Amino acid sequence: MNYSEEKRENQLKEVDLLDIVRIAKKRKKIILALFLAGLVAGVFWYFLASSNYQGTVILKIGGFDRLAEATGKKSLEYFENISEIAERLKKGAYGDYPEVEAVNPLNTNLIEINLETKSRAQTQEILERIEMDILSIHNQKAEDRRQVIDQEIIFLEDKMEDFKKDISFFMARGEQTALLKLEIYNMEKLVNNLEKEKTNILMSEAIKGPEVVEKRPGYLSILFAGALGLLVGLLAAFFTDWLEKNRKRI
Amino acid sequence: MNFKEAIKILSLIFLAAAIAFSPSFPAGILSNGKIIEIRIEDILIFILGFSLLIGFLASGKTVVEKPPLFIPILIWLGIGLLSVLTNWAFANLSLDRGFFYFLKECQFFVFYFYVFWCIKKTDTVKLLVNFWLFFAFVNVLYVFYQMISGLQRGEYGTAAIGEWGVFPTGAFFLLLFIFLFNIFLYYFLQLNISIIKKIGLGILTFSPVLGVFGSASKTNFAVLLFAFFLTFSFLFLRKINLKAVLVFVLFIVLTIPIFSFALKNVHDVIRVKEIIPVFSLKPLWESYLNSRFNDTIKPLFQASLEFSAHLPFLGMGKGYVGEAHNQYLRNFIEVGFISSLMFFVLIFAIIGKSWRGFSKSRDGLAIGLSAGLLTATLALLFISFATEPFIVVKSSSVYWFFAGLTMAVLKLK
Repeated sequence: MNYSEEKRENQLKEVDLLDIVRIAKKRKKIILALFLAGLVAGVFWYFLASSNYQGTVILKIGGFDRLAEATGKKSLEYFENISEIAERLKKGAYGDYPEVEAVNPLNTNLIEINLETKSRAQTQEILERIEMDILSIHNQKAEDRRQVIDQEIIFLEDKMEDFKKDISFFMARGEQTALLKLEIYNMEKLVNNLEKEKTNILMSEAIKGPEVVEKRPGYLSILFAGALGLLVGLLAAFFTDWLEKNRKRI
Repeated sequence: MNFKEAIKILSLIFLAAAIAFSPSFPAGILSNGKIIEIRIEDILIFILGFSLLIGFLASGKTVVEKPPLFIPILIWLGIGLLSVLTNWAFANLSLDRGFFYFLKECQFFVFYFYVFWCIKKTDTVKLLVNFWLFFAFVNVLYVFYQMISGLQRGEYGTAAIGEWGVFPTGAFFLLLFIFLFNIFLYYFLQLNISIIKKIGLGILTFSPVLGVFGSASKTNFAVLLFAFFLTFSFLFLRKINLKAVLVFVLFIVLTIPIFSFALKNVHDVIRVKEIIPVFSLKPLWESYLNSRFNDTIKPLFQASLEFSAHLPFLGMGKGYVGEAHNQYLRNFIEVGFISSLMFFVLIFAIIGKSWRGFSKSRDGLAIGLSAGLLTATLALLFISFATEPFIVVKSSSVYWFFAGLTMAVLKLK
C-alpha cells in the first residue's frame, strides 16, 4: 500500500478534528458569507413577514354527579370524555372548522383550543363558533339530565302521596304503618339527593374566551436564520473541499 | 485492565441498568400537552458523553475513530437540525417541541457512539450481554409477579420496571428477546458448557416473550410473530441442519405454555386474542385499518399536504407531529419527503452492515449480534407502519445500545 492509499484508508476509519478546523479556516469566506446571508434574510423576514393571528380559548368541561352502585361513592361524570374532545374536534365532530390544535392539560378538566389564521376577525369568529358549538351540546346534556331528575322527583313525590294516603287508610283500621313511614323517609332522602344533584350540575364554560394575539417572527428568528446560514455555510465548505479533493476521480 | 478501562466498563453497565430499570420523572409539559419525562439514563448519558469529550480533548489527541454508520447518522442529524432551524426561523415550530424532540433523537445516537467507543475488547461485550441477560430476567420476574399477584401496573396489562405504556413495554421486551435469543442461537449454543446450562440460557433468553404477551400490545404481538419468522429464516440460511429444526421445535414448545400462562393471568391480553387468527391476515389488516390508518394516518397525511410550500424539502421540523402512528409519515412531515429518504439510507446502512456481519463473520457472538440487529431493524421497519418505534425512548435505547455492541464486535473481529 503506498502512502496516498494508506492515508485514504486511515481517512475512512478515522476523523481528524484538526482537519475539520483546517477546512473551516480555509473556507471561512464561504462560511462567513452564508452566515451573514442568513442573518440578513432573518432581518428581512423579521420586518417583512406577514402577521398571523393566534387565538386561544380554554373550556372547562362540566358534568354531573354519578353514584357508583358498588362503592356508593360519588364521582363527577363529564358531559364528554375529556381526552376524546380534542380528537373529536380535529375530526370535525362538532362542526367544520379549519385545522385547530386542542390539548387537554394533564389531570385537568380543561380543553385548550388554539387556532392560527391570517385574519384576526376570522380567528375570533371561528373560535367563538367552536366555543358555542361545544357548549351548546353540553348545555343540552345538562338540560336533559335536569329533565330526567325532575321526572324522577315527580315519580317519587307521586309515590310518597300514595303512601301517605295508604298510611291514613291503615291508621284508620288500626294497623301498623311504620314500614310505609320508613319508605317515605327514604324517598324524601332520595328526593333531597336528586335536588342536590340538580343544583350540583357543573356547567361547561369558557374560562378564557377567545383571545387573539398577533404572531410575528421575533428577534430569535434572526438568530435562527443566522444559525441556519452558519450550518449551510459549514456544509458548503466541506462539500467544496471534498469536491476539490475528488475532482480528478469524479 | 487499567483503571480507565474499568471505569468505562462500569459506566456501560450503569447505562444498561438505567435503561432497563429507570423510572421516568415529569420535568414539565410541552406546548402540545405532552409531558417531558426525564430518566436516569438521560442524565447519565449526558454526564458520560461530556466526560468522554473532556477526556478526549484533555488527552491532546485530535484523531477520533470513525464508527460505522457515522456518515449516515451525521447526515440524518444534520437534516433534522436544518429542518428545526428553518422552522424556528419561520416561526412554524414551537421552541420547546423542536428542542426536546431533536435532543431525544440525538441522545439515541450518543448511546450508540458511546457504547462503540468504550468497547475495546470482546470480553467487555460478553460481560455486557450477561448483564443484559440478568436485567432482562429481573424485568421478566417483575412481569411474572404482576401476573400471579393480579397487580398489573401497565397501561393494559403488565409493565416493565419503571415503565407504564403499552407500546414501550412490549417493544422493550421484544427487542431484548430478539437480541438475546439470537445471541443464544449463534453463541451460547456453541459454547462448551453442559446441556443443563444451555437449556437454562435458552429459557433466560426466551423469557422476555412473557413481557411481550403481558404488555397486551397487539402491535408488538404481531411483530413478535414477524421476528420469529425472521429469526428462523436467518437460522435456516446459516445452518440448514437438524439442530435448526430442533431449535424451532423447542421454540414452539416454549411459546405455547408462556402464551397460555399470559392468557390466564393478564386480563387485557384478550386484546391480543383478537389477532390470534393472524395467519389469515385479514383481522390484523382490518384492525390496522380501523384503529390506525383511517383514524390517524390518512387524515394526517392529507392534512400534511396542505401544510406548507416547503414541506417536500425541509418539512415542518422535528417535534411538529404529536402522534402520527406511522414512522414514515412522521419523517415525511418533519423533515420533508426528499430528506426523509435519508432515513432509509441510514436504515439500509444498518441492514448492510449487520448482513455482512451475519453472513461473513465466523465468530458466534458477532453472528448472533448481527442477526439480532438485522432482525430488530427489519422488525422496527415493519412496526413503523403502525407506530413510531424510532422515537420511543425505552425501546430505542435498547436498540442503539445493542447496535453499538454489534458494531464494536464486528470491528474487533
